[in-house]
Parts: sequence; C-alpha cells; structure tokens
Amino acid sequence: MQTRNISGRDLSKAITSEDILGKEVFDIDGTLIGVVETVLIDPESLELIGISVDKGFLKKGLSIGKNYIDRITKEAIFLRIQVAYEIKGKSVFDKDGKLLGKVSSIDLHGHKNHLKSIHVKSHLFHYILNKEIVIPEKYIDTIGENVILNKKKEQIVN
Amino acid sequence: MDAHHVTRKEISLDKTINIKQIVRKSVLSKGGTIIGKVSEVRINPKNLELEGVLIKRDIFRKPLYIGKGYFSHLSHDAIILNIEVSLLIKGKQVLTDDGKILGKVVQVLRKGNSNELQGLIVRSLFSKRFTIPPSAVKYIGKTIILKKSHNANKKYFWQRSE
Repeated sequence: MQTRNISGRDLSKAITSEDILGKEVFDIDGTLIGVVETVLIDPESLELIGISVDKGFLKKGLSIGKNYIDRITKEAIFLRIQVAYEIKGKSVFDKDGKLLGKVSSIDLHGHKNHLKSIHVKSHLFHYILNKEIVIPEKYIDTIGENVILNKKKEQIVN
Repeated sequence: MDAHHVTRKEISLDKTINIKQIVRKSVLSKGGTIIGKVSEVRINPKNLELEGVLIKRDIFRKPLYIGKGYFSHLSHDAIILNIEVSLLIKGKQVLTDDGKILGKVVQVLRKGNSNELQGLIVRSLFSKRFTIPPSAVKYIGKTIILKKSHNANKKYFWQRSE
C-alpha cells in the first residue's frame, strides 16, 4: 500500500514493528533466546527503548534494552551480549572439575546484564532444604555449556 | 600415604596423581561441556609419560582419544581441556550473519587428527552438502554463525551443480 510521508525524512530504510515482532532473538554465541513479543517505546521521547522476548511455555519473559541489540536483520535479531539469565540451570564445576551443583538463581547489578553472583544448589536435598551456595562473579572462570570456577570447592564453601 | 620413597629427580608422591582414580572421572571441555568419562589412561612406553586418555561417551558414539596436549587441568575429580572439541560441532545448526538457517553440520573436517578445523560439511533436508571453510565462521556456540562476507548459497538437490 502506498502511503504519504509527512515525517520530514526519508523513511524508505526504516523498519516497522511488524519487521521486529515474532522474530527470533539470538545472543552473541548463537543461543536462541526466544521470539520478540513486544516492542518497548519510551512514552516521552517516543524512542525505541528495547524489546520483550517470549522465551517459551512456562518460562518468564525477558526485556532487553536496545543497547544490547547488535543488529536487526531480515531473519532474526542478534544481541551483542551473552544473556546473564541463560546461566540458570547450568552445571557448576570448581577449578578441579568437581561438580558443585546447578545454578538456581542469579543476582545482577541493578537491571543490567552484569552478573553479581550465582546461587548454586547441589542436589535434591538442598532444593528441599532451600540450601544454596552463593558464588560471587569474580570466582567464575568460564561460562560456556556449563560454568567452570577459578577456585576449589573448599575455598568457596568455607 | 606413608611409603618409602626411592626417587632420583622425580616429584614427590604427594604431588602425583593416582591414575586409578582418574578412570571413570568426567572430562570437561574449556567451556564446561561434559565430553564423557575416562575409560583408559594411556602411557608412552618409551618415555613412560602420560600421552592421553580414552573417553567413553554414550553407547551410540565412538570413544574419543584426547592427547595430553589438549589438557588444561588434571585432578582426582576431572580432566579439564583447553579446547572445545571440534568433533562435537557435528549436529549444530548453521546460520548466516542475518539469521537464515543454512542447515546442520553433518561432518567436521579436521587437519589430520588434530582439533584444528579444516571445514564443516553442512546440509539441510532438501539441500546438497556444501563445505564451509573455517575462515567463514564468525562464532561457534550453541549454533554456528557465519561471517557477513561468506556467500553461503545452499543448493537444493534438484539444482544442477556447475
């Protein structure tokens, strides 16, 4: 449909909310985060401030600020970050490869994507007793498929 | 353990690792992927040094022999590697820079027996197999993302090859 333009600028290269909604969102390492559910706009400046992502059935949605968006392409949206929340559920190993448990929750610095600490529960018994180990971000060596720490279990637990 | 020591230049007993205890322990990649469990520890019969470990995976997959050059840390709990094992890329989805799905990796080509990638053979349900050079790969994570410059036009099996 042809439309008249009274915006005062060339809008031929602009994208619309239709181009964003329903698109798959991938983080920097190619992990599928979910699909775009809504486009968030600042009511005062009228600027795009981010997107909210539907992560699937029974999973909490995620709002992502526009600064974390790397590019919007014809097929998908790519982020410039590894989403901190994706660490939940990953196994945590100490420096020696000893399994500590799984990440049950995380603490962030404000609403930013910066990890402050991770909460690790080791087994069902800990889940029932709600016992967990809190590990500060500085003890994390690598985050990949799982998490490897730079300290031994004894140095963290005591 | 209290024992009489008869050594020349070798390190003391308490600084060594009992091979028996490594068997059946996990092998983790650099990023924490569980590769499998150690089934055998292999020793060089000439210099008597540890050469590598044989890793048992699930019943459908061949065991994996990894040389000590790829070890980062060895303990009584696990072996941590200094690499992501390139063979494990097989089965991962390949996306172009703009997110278009090209297919899945069906074969990983390596330089000899090393972990160095030489190419990835990719195919999708209706496409022919095509090779992607390592220079075209931007990122390998849960999926493989290609560089913008790479022109990865997949050919369907009904299209003629030139």
